[in-house]
Amino acid sequence: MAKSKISPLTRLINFLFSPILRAQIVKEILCTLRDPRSRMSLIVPPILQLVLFSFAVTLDVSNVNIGVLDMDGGRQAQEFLTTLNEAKFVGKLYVVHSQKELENQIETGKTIASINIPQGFSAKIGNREPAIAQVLIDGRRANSGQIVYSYIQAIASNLGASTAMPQGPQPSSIRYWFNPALIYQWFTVPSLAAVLVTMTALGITSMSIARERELGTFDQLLVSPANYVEIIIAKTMPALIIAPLMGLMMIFAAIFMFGVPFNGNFPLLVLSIYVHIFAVVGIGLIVSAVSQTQQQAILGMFTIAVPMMLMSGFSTPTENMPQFMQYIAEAIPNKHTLLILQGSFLKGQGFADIFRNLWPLLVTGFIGLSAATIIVRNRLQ
Amino acid sequence: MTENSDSSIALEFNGLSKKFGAIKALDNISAQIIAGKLTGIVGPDGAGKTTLLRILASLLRADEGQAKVAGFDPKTQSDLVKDNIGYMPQRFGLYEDLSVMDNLVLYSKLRKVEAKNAKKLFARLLDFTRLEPFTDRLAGKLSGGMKQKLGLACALMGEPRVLLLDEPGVGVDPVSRQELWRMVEALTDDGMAVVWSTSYLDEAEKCASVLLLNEGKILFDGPPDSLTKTLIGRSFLIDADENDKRAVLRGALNLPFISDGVIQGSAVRAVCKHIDDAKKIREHCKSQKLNLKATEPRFEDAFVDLLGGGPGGHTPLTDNFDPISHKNEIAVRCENLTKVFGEFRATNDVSFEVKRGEIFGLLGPNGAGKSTTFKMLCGLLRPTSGIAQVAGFDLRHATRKAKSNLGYMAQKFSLYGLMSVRQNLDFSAGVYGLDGALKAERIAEMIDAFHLKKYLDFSPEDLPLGYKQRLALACSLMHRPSVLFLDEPTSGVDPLTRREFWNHINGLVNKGVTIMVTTHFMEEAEYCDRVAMMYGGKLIALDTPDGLKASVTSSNLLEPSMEQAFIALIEQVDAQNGGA
Repeated sequence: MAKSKISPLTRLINFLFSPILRAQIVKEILCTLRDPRSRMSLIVPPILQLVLFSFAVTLDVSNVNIGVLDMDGGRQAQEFLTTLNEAKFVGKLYVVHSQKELENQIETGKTIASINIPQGFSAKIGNREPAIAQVLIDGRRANSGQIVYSYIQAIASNLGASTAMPQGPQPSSIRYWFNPALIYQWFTVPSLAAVLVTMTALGITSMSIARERELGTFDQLLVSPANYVEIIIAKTMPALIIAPLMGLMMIFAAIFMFGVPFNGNFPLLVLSIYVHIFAVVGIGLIVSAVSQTQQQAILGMFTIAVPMMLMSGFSTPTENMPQFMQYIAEAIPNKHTLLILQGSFLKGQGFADIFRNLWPLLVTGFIGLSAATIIVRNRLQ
Repeated sequence: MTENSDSSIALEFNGLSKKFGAIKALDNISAQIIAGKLTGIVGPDGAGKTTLLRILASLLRADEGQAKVAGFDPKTQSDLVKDNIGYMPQRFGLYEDLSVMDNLVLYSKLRKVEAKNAKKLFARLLDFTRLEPFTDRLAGKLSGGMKQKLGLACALMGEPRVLLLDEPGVGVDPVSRQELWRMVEALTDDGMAVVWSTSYLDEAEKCASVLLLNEGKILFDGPPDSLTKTLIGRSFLIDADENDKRAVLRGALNLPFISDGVIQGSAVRAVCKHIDDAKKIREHCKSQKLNLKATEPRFEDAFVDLLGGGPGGHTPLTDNFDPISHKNEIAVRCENLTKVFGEFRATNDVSFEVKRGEIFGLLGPNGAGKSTTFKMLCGLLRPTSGIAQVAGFDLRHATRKAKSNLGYMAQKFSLYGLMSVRQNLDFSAGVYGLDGALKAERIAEMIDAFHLKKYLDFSPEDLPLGYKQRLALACSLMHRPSVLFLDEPTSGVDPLTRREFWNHINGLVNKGVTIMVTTHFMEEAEYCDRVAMMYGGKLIALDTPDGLKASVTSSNLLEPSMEQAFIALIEQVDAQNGGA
């Protein structure tokens, strides 16, 4: 401070490593790691989510009953039925003799899906012509039905045939690339990385100011020479250190436990995760800055987190939301990060594609952190 | 009231013990409480007062021992006990979102008061508590004193035989406290047994009988004056002029035959170890040319004596402290300081100056604006208008410079419970920009001065109260501030810890540190050189403690206490406002 001519770089380093900031960063990390509540939120959710989601997948589509009307009776049709019968997800295969019966079974809940193999199915496959089996799904059990449909579709495609649902989505070519038994997890497990990182970062940061305020140490901090920017920078650190570990854990789980193929650029993905946390931390600190107690902060965090998850496209496609909600969704970090994760895992996107989803995160982060700083400062007035 | 005719035992307990983890909250205590009397359960925070009351109210089970409350056993007959007692917990126990009347109705139903009797009872309680005009107001919007009165009304709902009040004097200004006191006296006159727990020793003096608790043990059981009497002939006042009263105190405390000493206005109150030591103190004062006079002992003198006397006068804290040199002699200045929250003027046009090395107190009831003023001075709030300067720096412009000149010790010692003692020291040094060798040196100094070595790896939460206080002080002094702000520094603390704390403070003042202190605790005001009394956002008086007392002295009030002076000054202001 005494010397007048210092290069901007030295100044930056001096700023980054000033004793005032260093002391605060150490304090933040110690407090986060030693707080039993923070620790719980670090350990329990990842394990819970891993277990829950990996089991949820198998539970969803095992032991389902399917009705079959074979109007063809050819070799390929027989093969189709045999494969279906042996497939793990099928409980019972009911062979019936009329379309009416098929519909009846679905109506009474006896079956979740029914397949109508039309005449000439085997012949068409033999001639390498498009052969289509009609599939009927129980719309009341839409989610499971969708998965069952994709399995049936995959079995059919192995035979060289395809399937169709009346008014249902046309089979898209991409789907044929997936291993049907894992298709659900291929989407969810990488996406879980984003969910987990978000929850961890939100959990840590939303508590940090509120905890100090509740215990009275925040006043102590405010009367010290530490300025608001330093206070906010220090408060982002625990999340920036801990949350990426959670994300990496989930990504490795996706690759090694669930065998999701990773086709993208790994360093780029790690960078994206950091940027994502940067954005989430801004939101978390706003919640924390407006809360007077830790209880308020926890409630505030969930008030923010639930809509954030719902609008991110994790469980429902964002395209189905009303237009104005879609605009709001642009500010939600998860919306972009999910695309980055899927792009990295399944599509193998490069920098240009990733950056398209990265810059909104940067904008959200800068706005969030600035807002948190201003709120902390204005609370004094 | 005739004491002898009505001395039935309302409440008794025998060999009560209660542990929380490793801490013995109550350690084999026994006593009897008589109906028709006000009994004080007196002791510092953590002495076991609340635990005892909760066991008697059958809200908590004792580990060992028996109790009988209004003739019933709280362990086995908790329903009967609850029907016969009124209990007022520390935080009022009111529903803040319900009106005064709603609260009364709710409690009457909980206490199974019959509807036809309820109206009469409400009228009586409202009349008794003078809450009649406020029946529609939400309980949350009442002042501390009015909340306490409503709490009392709710506790009286079932016409209990025993009334248990847990620290009813906390958060209540002296005026309301006096009123509350009168109400409770009226109740005991009707034959009710009233138990009033408190950490204020001046409240204890007014009780008919006290149980003095410390660290879970009963130190004394009986009328307070019978304890105070044991000190007759041992309490003295040494005259000292304003400037060297702290030196006189230090000198007195270092004498081997003095067990306790505090500052009282411009004099030093000294208690000698034995009645025979009176001669020695007389000789000492004569040789030092000090004016000595014998005085009536106080309950607090006796309490400290029971605890084995107060600490000595030396503080190692300031041995290495360089005297602080201010360029200007004014350490803290505020000029027309005003803070407006919406329509409400929390601080209204307040001006004063504090000299270097002065202890300056901000005194006032809750909501008087003392905290707001205090927060503006240490940079926690921005003034709406006016000037606040600390060590010559305007807090609005040079905050960083001003801030590194001030130290701040928050109420209830805000330390990081999640970090160890050493980490707390490290953090405080670092956040004030200390680094490298200087940082290590200062930390070592503090560890040394406050004997923190054996506690370095503890969490501050696990420290004994006295050490917690030392640590908080160490953290706020790490950067050698020239002005130290103390927010209610010793409320609820036992008298020994308080004396030790003020020893350190006196040592700092000796080196030229300026002390700003807010308090609603009248004893603490005595330590100040000057006291600014605030009421309704305004500064209503500013003088030395003795000056304030003298200003209200009259024929009915010959030797007013600090609290009486306070009440009188507020009443003067109210009378003026009423007249205008």
